[in-house]
Amino acid sequence: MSHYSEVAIELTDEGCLVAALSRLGFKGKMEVHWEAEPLYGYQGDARAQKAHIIIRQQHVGRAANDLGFERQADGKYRVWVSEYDQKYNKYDSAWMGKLKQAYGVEKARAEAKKKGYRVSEKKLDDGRIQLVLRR
Amino acid sequence: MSTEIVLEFWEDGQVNLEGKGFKGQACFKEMQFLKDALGVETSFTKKQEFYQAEVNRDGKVKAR
Repeated sequence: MSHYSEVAIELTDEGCLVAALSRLGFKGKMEVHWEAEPLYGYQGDARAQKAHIIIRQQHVGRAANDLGFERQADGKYRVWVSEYDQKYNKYDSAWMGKLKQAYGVEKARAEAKKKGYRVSEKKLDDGRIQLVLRR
Repeated sequence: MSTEIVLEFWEDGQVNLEGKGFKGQACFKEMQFLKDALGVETSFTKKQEFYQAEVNRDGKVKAR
């Protein structure tokens, strides 16, 4: 080996973000919009926040609000999660970490395949996901 | 020796990348596309092999 790097994952790729959310159980439960659409609260009230990728409240949890991912001008996605859903439906920092983990796996797989790598994936006992790239 | 890149994705959203079997800065160059795609590099540790000369297919040592 010649070096190690540590990278903090950023959400920038729509397709990989959708694939990551599918890994977390939202396959077929997402809306993907070209233009950002409003998010709605648990009482059906439109919120000020908008998003390009939306998981509607019925898929989020009990008495939940919509969950959204809004693409910013710099290409990064901003995540909209209500305080209630962070606290009572477990969409907290631990969930965000798992989302970034799943996103990173999908993004690395996609980019590696473009470069001609063969990719193998393994889930480790401590929760880590390992990818090995060879060609 | 064959080369490979190992990525380990943690549940907190961090990822560690390790190049294996590379000589010199070839590892750095080969892994850059992954760092660019994934996010922001927060730490970087050079291993002993990083300082070894790259050798071309014809056996010539690349200038460093």
